[in-house]
Amino acid sequence: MGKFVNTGIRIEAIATVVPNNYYGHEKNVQMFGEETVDKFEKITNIFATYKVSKHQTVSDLGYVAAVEIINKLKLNKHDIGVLVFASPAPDYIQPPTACVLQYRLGLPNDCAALDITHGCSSFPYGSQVVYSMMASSDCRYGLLIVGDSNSKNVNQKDNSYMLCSDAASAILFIRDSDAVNKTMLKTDGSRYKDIIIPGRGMRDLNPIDSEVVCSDGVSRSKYNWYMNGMNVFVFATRDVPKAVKEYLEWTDTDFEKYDAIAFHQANGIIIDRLVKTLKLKEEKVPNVIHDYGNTGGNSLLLALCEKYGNIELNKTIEVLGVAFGVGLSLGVTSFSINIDNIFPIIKTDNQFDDGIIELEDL
Amino acid sequence: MTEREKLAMLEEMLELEEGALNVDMELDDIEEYDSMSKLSLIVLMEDEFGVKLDANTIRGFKTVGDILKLMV
Repeated sequence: MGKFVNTGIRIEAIATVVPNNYYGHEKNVQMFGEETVDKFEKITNIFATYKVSKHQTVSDLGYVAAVEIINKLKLNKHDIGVLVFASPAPDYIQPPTACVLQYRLGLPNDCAALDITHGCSSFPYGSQVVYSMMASSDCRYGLLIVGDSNSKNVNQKDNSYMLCSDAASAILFIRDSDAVNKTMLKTDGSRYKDIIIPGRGMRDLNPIDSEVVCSDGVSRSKYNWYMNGMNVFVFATRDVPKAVKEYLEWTDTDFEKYDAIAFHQANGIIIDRLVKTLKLKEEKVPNVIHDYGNTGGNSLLLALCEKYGNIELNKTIEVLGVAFGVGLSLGVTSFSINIDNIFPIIKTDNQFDDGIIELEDL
Repeated sequence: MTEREKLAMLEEMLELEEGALNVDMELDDIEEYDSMSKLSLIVLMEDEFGVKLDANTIRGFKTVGDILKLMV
């Protein structure tokens, strides 16, 4: 259950993009005061984040990341038969963002494009969908876009605003007859309220936009992102290590096999706990939380791009990827990739102006 | 471990001056005891006492003494 073996397809390249809009210590102090910021930084180890601008979206960042891969590897776009946009931050309620990206990227109409609304675990979930779709088709390439723009959902008076960072990654999948991937996915929907935006979905489409003080003392409207920090911390530091050990047992591997153990960059205290609980060597665990904050579903990929993006070594590394979050859900997967195909992080102001719809234009 | 030593651990965690806490103090009255420090409390209790706190247990703490009872 929840364990998938994928053969004949592997990850070939990763590119990551963040918006230009930088939020550092000084900006946070202006918003929250020195004392609060100092304490926040000490516990989370987050000193900077990047936020999308008003009309900029995850798909803009993902677009730039995908173009980077297509151009650098000189891909024939007509060979891309699967495009998955795995993010809780679509451009619209309808249509799927993947359809807009298929158009913007100039992919063929033969390309199957769809969205998955997972959050922090969207990389293993999205990967599994791409593996499965490619396995039952003859397309040469599959493209996965993962990312989040949670800064748009968090109330700016909520300390979590200092945590949430925006970014997207593009991941290219190719055919390789020798490739074997194993992915494990888990869900505990009983904890669905632990990370939630209560309004704007069909359950409560147009709630009043007034703020209420929640049990954690933070004012929010139903359009704002809520996280039960304690429950999520317990999930991340107890359920996740158990799942990692289960994955290692299932795959008959140990940490020695992997060059990088890339966790979702949730916050500093969670990453430290995972390193300690699983008795990992810190140098094997990419940790970029200090400079990028929590970027959601693409954060483990961003961490890889930061660590390896500027190294040209023509060396293949083994990566164990561990992601967890909203759902609550988690996923563990592994892959090998040439360091040269892990590209440096790009910063962008890219924005799809045609995507800002005025009713008069319809 | 004496009561004073346990209080000192909580004072260090909350970055309070030595002697700032006593067992009868209401947690709601301690400004430094916020959502972030509760994560530190989970870590401290697990590392120092082998106690795995969950959110419900933490929500049930009313006084400093309630925490001390589990520091064994």
